[in-house]
Amino acid sequence: MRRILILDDDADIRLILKVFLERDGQTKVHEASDAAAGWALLQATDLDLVVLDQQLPDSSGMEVLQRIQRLIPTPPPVVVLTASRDMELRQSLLDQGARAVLNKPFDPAALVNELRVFLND
Amino acid sequence: MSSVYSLMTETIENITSVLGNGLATLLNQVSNLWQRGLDYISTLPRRELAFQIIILSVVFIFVITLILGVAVMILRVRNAVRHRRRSRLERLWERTIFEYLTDESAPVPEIRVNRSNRMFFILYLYRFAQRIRGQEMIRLKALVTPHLPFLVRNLRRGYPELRARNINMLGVLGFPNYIDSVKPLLSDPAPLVSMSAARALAHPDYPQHMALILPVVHQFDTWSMTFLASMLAKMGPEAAADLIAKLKDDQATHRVRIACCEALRKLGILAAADAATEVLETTSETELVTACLRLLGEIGTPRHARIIRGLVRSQQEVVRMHALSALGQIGSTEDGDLIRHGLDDPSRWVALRAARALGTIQRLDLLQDISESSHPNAALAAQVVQEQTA
Repeated sequence: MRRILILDDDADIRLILKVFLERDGQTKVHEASDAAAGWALLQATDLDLVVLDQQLPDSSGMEVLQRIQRLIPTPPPVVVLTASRDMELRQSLLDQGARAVLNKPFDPAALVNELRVFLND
Repeated sequence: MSSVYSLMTETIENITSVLGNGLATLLNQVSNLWQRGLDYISTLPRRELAFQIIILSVVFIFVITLILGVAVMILRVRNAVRHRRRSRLERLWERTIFEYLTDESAPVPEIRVNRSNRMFFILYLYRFAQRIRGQEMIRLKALVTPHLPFLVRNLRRGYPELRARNINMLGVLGFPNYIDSVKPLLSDPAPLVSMSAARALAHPDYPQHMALILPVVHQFDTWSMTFLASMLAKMGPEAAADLIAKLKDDQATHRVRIACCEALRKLGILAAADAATEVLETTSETELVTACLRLLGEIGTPRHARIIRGLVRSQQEVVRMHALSALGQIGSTEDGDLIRHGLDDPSRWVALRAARALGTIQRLDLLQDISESSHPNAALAAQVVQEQTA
């Protein structure tokens, strides 16, 4: 069973991703709506992938990403979701270790296919 | 007191003559009661009167508090019941909707929605529609389509906020099939409604909507320029001809022309540079001039530099700033001496733009000379030299 954390304050986004990711029956999705809850899950769970929103109520995706890379010995791949088209921000996220920066709104089936690539790496 | 009473009596007599006996009798009874109250108060000693007023005030405040408390309780209970009912409905719909969305071969399910829940159902789907696109969005639209006529009927009902919300939903869920219903709302008297209609119509697949939107843009004077320009630019380069025509239209308001200019700049329409040059030759309105200069700085060519050179010595500080920046972008090394005069400008901001413009046209020699002199902006020149050579 593969474990994915969706860290996004938007409950509808979490629901959409959860339904589409879990439909294969081999994926378990964990959810968190803020950085604090997400960090607790990151420490307690062995994760295969983190899907991270760039804007969280208590932190930015960039800060969470940096914390993951710095404090978790074997960090899981992190994919960042953002509605921003700021290319500098996107490049910074990639520089900080994000495996990909994907757009919101998204095509759920296509997004899940892209995420599976990182799961299989 | 007596004058009030006599006025009241007179009024009642007048009303009696106009209205039927029933109402007049009621008003008579009220006036009798009022008179009896006044008579009673006039018999009381002053201290007792004050005491009674205090007692009555306390009772009044208590009754009002009680009424408000009960109203709050009723509203809370009503909201809790509504929330529970909606959560139940969401759970019921969620399963069906996501089974359908995740299975590409599944036919559109028939979801029975009561008339009273129809708007809530549309709002529920709209939440997801704002977050997804692609095939799933098309399938979601198919799910909501049977309910859209209901939304169309509600476009002209209710508060402007509700109508604007309904337009937004129709713009997302009903585009393009229901978009004709939105067009008449461009002329709605409520700016929020007409703006929502414009946003719904501004779509890159329908550049012809630009001709509908531009005539009403002047109504959106409370909206930010960035927002207006983005909305116009969203319609894509195919709508550029309309934008250029409006930019050149001296009958249009400055704000509308600036919005068009900013949209053209965002779109990077090269033909707009000639239009901006024409506008600069005929207008002195500061904001419009600076918008044109920004546009020329980004998409102009050296042949547009002549008009900019004339504005480098404008009376307006903001115009000088933008003219120097634009000249730095599209000018040549030969413009060095002209730009160099900008460093003598009393405004530090103008001087900074001049220094950066010199850097852009690769006249670091001029900056170097100033940085080594006793010129008041020597430090500024040195800073830009450092930026350029770093």
